[in-house]
Amino acid sequence: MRRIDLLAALALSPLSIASAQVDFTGAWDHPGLFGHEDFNDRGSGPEIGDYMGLPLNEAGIRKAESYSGSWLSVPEHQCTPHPAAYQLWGPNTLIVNTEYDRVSRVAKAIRLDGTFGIDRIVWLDGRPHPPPEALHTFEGFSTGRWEGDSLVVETTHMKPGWLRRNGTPTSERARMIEHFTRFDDYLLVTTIVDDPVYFSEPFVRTTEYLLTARPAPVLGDPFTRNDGPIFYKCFPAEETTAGKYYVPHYLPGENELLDEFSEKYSVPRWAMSAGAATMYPEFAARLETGRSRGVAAAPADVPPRQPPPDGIRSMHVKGNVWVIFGAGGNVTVQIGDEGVLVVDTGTSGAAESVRDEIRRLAGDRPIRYVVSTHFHADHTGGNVLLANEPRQQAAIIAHENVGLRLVETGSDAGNLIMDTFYGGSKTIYFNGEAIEIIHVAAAHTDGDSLVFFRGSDVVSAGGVISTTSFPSFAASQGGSVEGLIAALNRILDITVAETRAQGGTMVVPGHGRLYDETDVAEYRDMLTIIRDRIQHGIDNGDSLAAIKRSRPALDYSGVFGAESGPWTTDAFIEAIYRDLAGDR
Amino acid sequence: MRLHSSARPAAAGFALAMLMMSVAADAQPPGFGGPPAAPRSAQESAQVDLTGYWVALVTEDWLWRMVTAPRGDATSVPLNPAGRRIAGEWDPERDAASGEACRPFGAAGLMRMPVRLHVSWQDENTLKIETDAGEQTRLLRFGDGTPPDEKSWQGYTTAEWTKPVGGFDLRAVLGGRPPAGSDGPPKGSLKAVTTHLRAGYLRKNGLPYSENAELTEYFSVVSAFGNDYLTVLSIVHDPAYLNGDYVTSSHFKREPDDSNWNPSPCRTAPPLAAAGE
Repeated sequence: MRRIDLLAALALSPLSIASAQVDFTGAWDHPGLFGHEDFNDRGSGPEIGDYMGLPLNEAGIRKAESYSGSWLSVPEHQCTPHPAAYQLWGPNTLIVNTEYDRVSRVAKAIRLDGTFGIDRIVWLDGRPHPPPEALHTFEGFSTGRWEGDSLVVETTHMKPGWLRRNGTPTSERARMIEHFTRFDDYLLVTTIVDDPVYFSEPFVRTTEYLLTARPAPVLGDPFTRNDGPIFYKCFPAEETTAGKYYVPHYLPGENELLDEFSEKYSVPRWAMSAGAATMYPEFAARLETGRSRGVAAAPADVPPRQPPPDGIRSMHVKGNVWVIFGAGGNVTVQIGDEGVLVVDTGTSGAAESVRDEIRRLAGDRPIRYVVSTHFHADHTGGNVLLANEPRQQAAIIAHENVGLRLVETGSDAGNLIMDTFYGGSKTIYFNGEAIEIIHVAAAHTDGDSLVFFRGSDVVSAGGVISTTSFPSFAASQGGSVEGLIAALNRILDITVAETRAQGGTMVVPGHGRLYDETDVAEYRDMLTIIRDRIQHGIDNGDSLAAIKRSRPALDYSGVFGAESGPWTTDAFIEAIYRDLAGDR
Repeated sequence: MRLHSSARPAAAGFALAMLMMSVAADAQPPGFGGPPAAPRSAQESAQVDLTGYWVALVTEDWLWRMVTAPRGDATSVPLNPAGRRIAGEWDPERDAASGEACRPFGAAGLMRMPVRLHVSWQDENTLKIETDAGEQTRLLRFGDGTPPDEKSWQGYTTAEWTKPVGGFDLRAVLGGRPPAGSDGPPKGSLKAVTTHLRAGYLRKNGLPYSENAELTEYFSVVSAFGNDYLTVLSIVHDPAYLNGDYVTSSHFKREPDDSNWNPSPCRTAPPLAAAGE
């Protein structure tokens, strides 16, 4: 009797119920292989201009209209997989497997493998989603729970992606909820994506699959005709004769493909950019009367879904490298047998907490080096404390201009003896790996350095990247927009993605979340596109006020913009304008 | 080791007990044991609440659903040669003149149309689905019934609540309560099979289904970001005009009331290109 009680308790425990109530395992095809809906998505892709039926706001429309198909020829984007919010909608065989805990034999995860996407893991074991600073990926991070007969999957930490293969965007703030429901031999996946940056309301899509009876389907079939495994590592190639750092895009109002689409399908131009209204039945009548209500406004800036927690916290990046968040600016820490190297030290107010966190990570290993990527107080504020720890006089390495600026501003850190360099780079070998300190001229300031940990495959980007704001620079401190773009391209020269345009070399920004090569490329694209738009206005003789009214940063403001604080969207646009117009 | 071996019969017995309870769940009052209760009505045993006002979100196949595609455009639809021939003869003016304007609003095409739905119980064993556009009424009948002799746009529909596939329903053991670790009330789905259809259109531009078509549908409700969505998986079986089953899924968002309900008779707008000519 006691054994039965035990079994009953086990059977009814949350762990037991976490195991599959409905069996989704197996291989699934779209009915008819390519499905009976939205054929263009399953085939060559929808055309530029096909934005109807999507709840895009004006920022989403702007981003879509500036998209060029040549974007896929950019080396950093060539291997991009179908992102999670799109993957099931494309040409796709879906293979579902269950993973079991080795000890308890309880189902701990469901694995979703799709043809053109990345394999997705849906964790069923109750683990939390990662902190906001964690790396974002094309598949995102997914957890699942049972709701009646449906498996409900919540996904966060997705890289910027798309809803359709025509540039209709999703942002890194998007969150996705999917319901997997099985009806006899059919699987219905209802996908709901909420993206406050580019949508005015959640986007909903239903995708159906039929349990396949085909023998041993492989991902890639039917394109490989199921004739064996394929090696799809994907490395970028030189696909065009355009310059190495060319960022293809259309300037506002210059995308001739929009008119072509309108003419081909007789869909009025106003209807193509009407956003969420196009999803509702009454829009059919508007098409006949020609009445437009207009697209929803874009938010000026969208607060993060998951604000960073207060206080100091750290995360392992890769190899010997950790990052400490919450110190004003990010602090990169390399730890090994020879001691500790610190890149940037945060604010002076956070210095003791940073020191304590380094001790927690490194024990009593001494700090041997402090590298300052630039002179700002949120990156050098801890230099005095960390470089003068008892028993450990650390060398401070920085470009000469950092030292000059520290003295000029009267910073306490300016009183420290520094090991400065004048040329393009400085190298040291520490903790078993080569470390390159690479000066990038006239970028965020005139003294910026990147720190490349060759063995760990990590770049600390300092002031060149802030994932929480538009890229910042001050001409009065020797910064420039062209220098920033060049610095970002320099990072892209260093970084290598592991596979499918993600992973590989990790990049620690001066502020915000962890980046990889694709993230840096998106950031570079963004700055280049905004630069081009402002330059276009200058070339047309537009005034600063007119350029501001044209909102050249509209499609990026939701993630990077600010209406108040030290670096507003307005200040960003004005800085670029003055830099390009020679009005420094 | 000894515990392991002796536990096997107990485990098997427990599993069997759960299975039996699952099978008997519909006839049992909540909880274990007790005399069998009278069979509950379809409304009482509903696995999901489909009632309310719903609006179609046309986020898929927009160029074929929101607007009327040109004659002969059968993109994505597995029409066979006979079906393509019929589609090529489509004439909406002829349909209207012959009293057949509701061909696109027949059951096999209705849920893909840009419409609003009002779902309610006509009686305790009949679920009613009304549309504003086309002013159609579908009746989903639970239990035994006899189809009428006459065929109609909405045909004759039988319905049943569905159970999970590939596993047993722990709710049966728990007396209808949601199991720990799952959220909200039990959620299942409704399966409906429709026959006795009058020949109609799968799409507004005259892609045909025959009067012998059989429509199988699965209705369910999901929630996310503060909204409820009604999903409908539809399978049209019609060897007369289709190479294989035509499978689509459509979704509707719950509306708080009938303020957007806008009945209008069956009408097919001309293709946009024609409208602009």
